[in-house]
Amino acid sequence: MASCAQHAGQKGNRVTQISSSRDDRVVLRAEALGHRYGDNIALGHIDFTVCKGEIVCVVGPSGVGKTTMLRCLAGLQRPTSGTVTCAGHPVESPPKEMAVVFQDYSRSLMPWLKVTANITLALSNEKIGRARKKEMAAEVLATVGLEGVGSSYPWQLSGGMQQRVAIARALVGHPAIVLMDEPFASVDAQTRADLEDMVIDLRARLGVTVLLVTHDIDEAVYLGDRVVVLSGKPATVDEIIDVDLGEHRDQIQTKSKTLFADLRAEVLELIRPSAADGARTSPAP
Amino acid sequence: MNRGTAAPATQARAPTRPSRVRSAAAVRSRSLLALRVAAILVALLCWQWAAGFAAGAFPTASASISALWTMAGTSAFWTAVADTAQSWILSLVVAVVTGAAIGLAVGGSRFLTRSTRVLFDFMRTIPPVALLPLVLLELGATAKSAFVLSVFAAIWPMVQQSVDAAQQIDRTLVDVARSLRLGRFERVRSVYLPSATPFLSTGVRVAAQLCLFMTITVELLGGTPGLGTLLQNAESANAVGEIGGVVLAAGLFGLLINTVTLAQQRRVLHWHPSVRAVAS
Amino acid sequence: MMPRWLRAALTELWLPVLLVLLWWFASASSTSLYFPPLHASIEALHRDWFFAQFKSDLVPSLKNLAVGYLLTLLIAISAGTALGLLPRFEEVVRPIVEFLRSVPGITLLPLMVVALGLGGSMRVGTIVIAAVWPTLLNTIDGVRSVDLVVQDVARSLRLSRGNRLRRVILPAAAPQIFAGARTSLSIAVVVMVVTESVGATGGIGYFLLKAEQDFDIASMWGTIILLGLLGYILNSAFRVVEALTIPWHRARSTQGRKATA
Repeated sequence: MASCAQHAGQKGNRVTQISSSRDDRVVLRAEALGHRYGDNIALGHIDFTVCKGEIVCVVGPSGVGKTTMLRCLAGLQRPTSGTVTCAGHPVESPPKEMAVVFQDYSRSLMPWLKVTANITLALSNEKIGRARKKEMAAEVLATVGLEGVGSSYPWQLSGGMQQRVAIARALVGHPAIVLMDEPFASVDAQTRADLEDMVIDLRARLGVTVLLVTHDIDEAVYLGDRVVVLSGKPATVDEIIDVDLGEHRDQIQTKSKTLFADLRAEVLELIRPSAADGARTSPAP
Repeated sequence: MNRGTAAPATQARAPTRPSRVRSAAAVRSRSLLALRVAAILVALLCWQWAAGFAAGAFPTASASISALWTMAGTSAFWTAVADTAQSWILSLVVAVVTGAAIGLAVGGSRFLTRSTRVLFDFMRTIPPVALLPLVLLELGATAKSAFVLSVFAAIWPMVQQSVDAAQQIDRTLVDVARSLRLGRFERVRSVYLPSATPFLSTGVRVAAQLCLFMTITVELLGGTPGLGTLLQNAESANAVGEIGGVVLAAGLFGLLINTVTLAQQRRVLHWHPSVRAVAS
Repeated sequence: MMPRWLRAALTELWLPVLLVLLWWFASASSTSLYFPPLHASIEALHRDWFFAQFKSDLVPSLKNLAVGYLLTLLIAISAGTALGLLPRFEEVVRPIVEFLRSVPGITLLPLMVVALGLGGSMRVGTIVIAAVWPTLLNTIDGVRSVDLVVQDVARSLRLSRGNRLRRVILPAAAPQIFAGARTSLSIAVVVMVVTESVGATGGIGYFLLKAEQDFDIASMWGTIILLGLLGYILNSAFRVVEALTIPWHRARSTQGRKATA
């Protein structure tokens, strides 16, 4: 698939991204992004871009600084160095073109508001009539497969459904990019598989652009068009790996491809060099 | 070949219990009621027995109850109740609204919170009774004195609770409010205020009790008309049974207040884990 | 840059200091009967309490307060734990507890005088009867709501009942118990003062009353300041004890400024 980032050289599946050209297909760009808390440097030098229609996954071990990075990207925190640009404008506070899905749905959805009210909250700045807002909420709920749930409270729903509501809230305003902070970490494996496929489907149907932060390597390779690997202290971009698994992914078929296993091993090697040895013995299809 | 978007949307409905489970619950609550009544009777008997040792100087259960019964037939009693109630509700409303406004405003800023901590702590621990004579001198034995002291007593805990409420707001909610780019009014209305309600409603409950306490104290020690004065009169007249009766009345009034404020709290906080867990 | 502790101290103190200064200068030339100049009140405070009345009034009051408060905690925590561990019994007696708790403590004062006379035991008794409720209720709540997972862990570790109580349940309930204990402390101080305004011959409350009867308003204000200081010191001491006893609670509930990755 076409990427608006320039490549330099190729070694197997590894591509190293250097600075991308000014491109109106670039939705999000992080340049020399860094952050420190006093003397503690949490983020080193982070560079990457996300182009329109891409799903970019950022993966790294727990504690490396992924959430810090995400908060800087989302405009919730001013990085101490570097810049973040979204849709051409520098990000200093949460931009209009961006929506965020937080990890803990039980804390990011307002328990005192029903599902519809939670979703229309995202439209509170829009000059749209109340009836229309409710319509939009119902539409987006249908998109994520939750028709008829609007008049329930979030805590009456299962974990997977709650996270879908959070995703619906992110989508209702038609953002240029959706940032997701380990969105499926708190659900069970089965639900996670369903939600992953939903993200792929949303991209296919709506052309949604996604930046997804995760610690799950399988998820990163399964979902991503490109995988940004963070590691080290302070966190820096190790590699950005192109995932040539095509746009249509399938839980069973895609994950049994050799390429999937190889990519997975590559990422694992970057994160935990010693553990990669065991992962190299990938099953044949 | 995608596996498709979603699991079928399930209608979220509270599970209904089968009828035999419902009636079992009813039986349980009936036996609970019976046990409670029995416990109360036992308590009353203990009271009666223990008071017997005081040789008429300490009100017995029977004397108190009959005195209360008699008093409830007099208009003087109900006037006193109304006086106390009026003072109480007025001071409560003022204390709660003012306290919440101050506390929420302060709590929103870490700097202000820390700057005022010493001041609020100090004010909170000044026993309002210390100011009682001064207030009585200035305002006389009127409802105004009771009002002023009750507000003073109840406002500081309310302020403290409100500061806590504003400070404890879940950081995720703050992030959500910011990333949704909510305007200030919307932020307060849909996020901060509801999130603060658990603390605020506890503050209201505490304030309600304190206002009653102070109102009756001013009546008892200062002579403002109300239940406290009834108690004082009974004391001077050495009407032992009546003392018991007024204490019972005050207790019942307090119980009513507590029950109502608790019920209101549960209603307002229907979404809170502590309340909704009961239902599930 | 300024050391952290210094910055913290300044943040906490600038406002009180400012207010005191304002009070000082605003009242300096006051001739009002009820609001004497602050320096007169401070003088009275110094003259009366440091150290003339110290022994005769302050110490007895504090003694009663200490005995009353500790007794309160003892009764509240043991009864509260028992009730918390016996939920069905607690349910049955709950109406009684609710009623007793709702009786405004002040109304019991005449009864306490009848029952215990006018001496120290009346004061201690009244303190206990008025202050026991917040701690009691919070203890019941805290013990009852100990995380079920934690309880399961304790059981699967086959801890003895005593150990389970001492090392799992009580520590888990401790934050809530402390919250109740703090309220009980405030109540205890108030009740201490009130009980001393009835037939006492010594104590802070007695002194306050006497000052008012003698129209020694400066002394009255001095005593009020003393009470405020006392309350403040007690509260701070309480905080210190709390921080030492349950340090983990503070650390967990503070929202750290550092984001976890």
